[in-house]
Amino acid sequence: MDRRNFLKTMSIAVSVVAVSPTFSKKAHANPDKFQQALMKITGGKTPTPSDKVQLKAPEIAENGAVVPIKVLVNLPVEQVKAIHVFAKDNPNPYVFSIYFTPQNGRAFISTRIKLAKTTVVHALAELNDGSFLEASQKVKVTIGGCG
Amino acid sequence: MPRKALVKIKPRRYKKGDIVTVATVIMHPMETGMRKDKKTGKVIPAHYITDVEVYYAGEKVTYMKTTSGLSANPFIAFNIKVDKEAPLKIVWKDNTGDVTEKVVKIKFAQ
Amino acid sequence: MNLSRRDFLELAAVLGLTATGGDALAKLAKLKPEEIFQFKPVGTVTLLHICDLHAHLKPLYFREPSTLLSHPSLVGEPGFLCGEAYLEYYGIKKGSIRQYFDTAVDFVELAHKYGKMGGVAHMATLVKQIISERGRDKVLFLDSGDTWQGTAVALFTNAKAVVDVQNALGIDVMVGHWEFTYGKDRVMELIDNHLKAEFISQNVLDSMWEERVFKPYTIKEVGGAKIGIIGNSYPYTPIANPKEFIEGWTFGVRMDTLQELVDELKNDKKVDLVVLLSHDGFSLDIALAKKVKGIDILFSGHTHDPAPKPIFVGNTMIVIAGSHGKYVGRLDLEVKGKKITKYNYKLIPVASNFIKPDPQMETLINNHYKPYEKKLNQVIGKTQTLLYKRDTFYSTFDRVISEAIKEETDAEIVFTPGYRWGTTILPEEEITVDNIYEMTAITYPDVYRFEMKGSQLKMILEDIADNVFNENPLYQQGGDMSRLLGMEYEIKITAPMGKRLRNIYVNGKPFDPNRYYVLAAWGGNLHRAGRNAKKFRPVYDIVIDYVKRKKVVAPPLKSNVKVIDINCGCPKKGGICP
Repeated sequence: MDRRNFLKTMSIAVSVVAVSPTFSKKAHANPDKFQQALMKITGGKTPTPSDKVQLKAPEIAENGAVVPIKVLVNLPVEQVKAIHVFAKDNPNPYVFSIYFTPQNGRAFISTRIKLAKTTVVHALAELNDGSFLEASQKVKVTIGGCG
Repeated sequence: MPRKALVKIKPRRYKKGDIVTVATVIMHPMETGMRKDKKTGKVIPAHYITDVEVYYAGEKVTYMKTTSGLSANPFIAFNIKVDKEAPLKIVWKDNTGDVTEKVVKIKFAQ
Repeated sequence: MNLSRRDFLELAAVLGLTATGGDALAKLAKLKPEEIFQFKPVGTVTLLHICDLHAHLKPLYFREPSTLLSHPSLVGEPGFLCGEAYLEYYGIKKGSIRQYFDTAVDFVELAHKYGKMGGVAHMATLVKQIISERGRDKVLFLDSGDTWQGTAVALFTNAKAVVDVQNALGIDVMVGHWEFTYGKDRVMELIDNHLKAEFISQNVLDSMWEERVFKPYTIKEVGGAKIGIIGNSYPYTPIANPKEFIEGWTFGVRMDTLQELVDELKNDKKVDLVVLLSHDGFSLDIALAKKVKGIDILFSGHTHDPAPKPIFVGNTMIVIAGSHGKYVGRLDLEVKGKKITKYNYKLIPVASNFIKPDPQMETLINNHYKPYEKKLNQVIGKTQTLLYKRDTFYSTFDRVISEAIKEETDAEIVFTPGYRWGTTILPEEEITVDNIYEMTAITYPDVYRFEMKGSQLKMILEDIADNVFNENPLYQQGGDMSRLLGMEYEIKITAPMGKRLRNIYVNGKPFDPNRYYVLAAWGGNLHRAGRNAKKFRPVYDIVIDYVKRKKVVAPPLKSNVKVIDINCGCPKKGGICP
């Protein structure tokens, strides 16, 4: 059993209500999946790391099936077209996009995502001028620890 | 078949021109299609929300493209600048064609 | 009591007596217990602090770790400091009571000299003394949690005995961790109907709406200063303990909302000082103080470190007050213009032999023990070797527990959790039923036998090792490695995740990743990942019967784990051995 399937087992075993993250055995056979998913959104443009994009995620997830994340783009909402979120090592790295209008007041999203294993979460801000800004953070998915 | 969905506006009292947080939850399994039923051994078909749309006074003000990478019973919170008393409608669509709608009224504190 | 002149002088020095030479000896010789713990008061604010009492209402022996390892970049500094390296770091004299309380060095010898530690009746005498000296309005008593769990009397009364004692002791504010293992309904019942202290936590939310379950902070007027206290309960409660106890709640460190609350207290509530009362763990809190700005004082807990001096990260002062009721932290402050202008801190050892127990508290504790006294005081055997808990990989008391489980379940490998709470029994001393509970009193005590494939077992061990040895404290959970009986291994602490363990042997044979092994475990979720799980009796019943059968136990002192890249248990900075 590889680590993914192991975590899957644990996650099913340990969590009662949550739907566990799922994995295909071939998922890790394609390391470029993340790059491809990224390409689909950026069209080949390189996102610039920026502290204008604030990504809040736990360092250690208490349950890989339910990982709370918040993304705020610290720019006038008029400049922000969308936020896109990726989990690099998920079988499907692309998680979601949210598109804004000035009526939002703020380019902000708070939600909960599934992480198949310890991975880096990437948040991309797509600006109306066509450029991309980025923030990322490693989230550790663990089976448990000590008292 | 509509699903159970809940919407909260935070803070509870707000006035014209405020930026409020709209917090939403919909009961949905968000199946990836890669999971097997433990008893039958059969693959559980993919079943997840694909689109979330938000209408304020009838106008689409924000929308999401989502995948089964969102956790079960998806929680989504975002901001809206409330500048008129009008209905706020959230629409969730899933990959099987199910649509769920929930409407709350934006009403300013007296 | 049998103290030499030198001991008296050291005691005088440690306990803060200002007199020197013959004068101090003369003073100590006719000591009244209250005088031993003299302290030079400063300003108008006194903050008292305890953490990780683990329900030890009565005095006990508790030996600090003989091995406390983590990544070499972290060891040798507060948070990962023990033994000779600890003595050197803090400049503590050989043979002193401070050495006895804070380290494992010469423990047995010093235990015979200085006697038991802690006990809330003894602590109460100290606290009452401080309150009468300062006035109640100048004293605030903070409790970093892990207070309600750890002994039989706590387990049997569903924590009520401990809550009554906290009330009598005058705890004002607390946060939690093991408290939650009584289940959320019981936690709420105790908080709403019995606990006089305020239970605060900014980082416990309901899982659906992510709204706070508890008050995030409280504001107290202490000695004329307005102090805002924010709470952080143990961020990894749902990982370290069964989730079902807190179904529907979510935790996490939540530094972003913590920063918002710090700012709110400073800017909107105009407090003079911002305090964080935390159960995050010492090294996590040190890392947190580098990221969250504006916390004046951080009272830490969880990792059980005794730290006689505060450490500073920027303008944040961080203290932690050991465990098991061995210490009370006293921090006196002079506050002027929203700044600490003077302070004095002392980690006061609750040296039970030198303190007269508070009679009211003693009566309260005895009354709670009464219904269980006959059962708990029963002598079931004795030990030839020192039985202790604290060590990163191996401990003698855990060895006894594991042997008992092995006999009961006939498993090839036995897992015992790397908790940091427990007790110590001196060589040639008797073992009582109470002692067994001191090592095992949890609300999910069942032992399970199950089968698990070698490769999966190794992955679990690697995962636990990454939580203990990760070089980034933010990715640690502040515990020790699970103890294994039947398995030997070498570990390279600095190796990457998944590659730390090597040369693994199971009962003398090379480890086979493709084979299924028969495991037994308690205190965790491990059995749920295995197959053919079978439930056995609670761990305390198994161990009590085992000790009764053996009459005498003598677990070996030698660990089953060999560390490759650090050559001693208590290294100095950079992993260098003293």
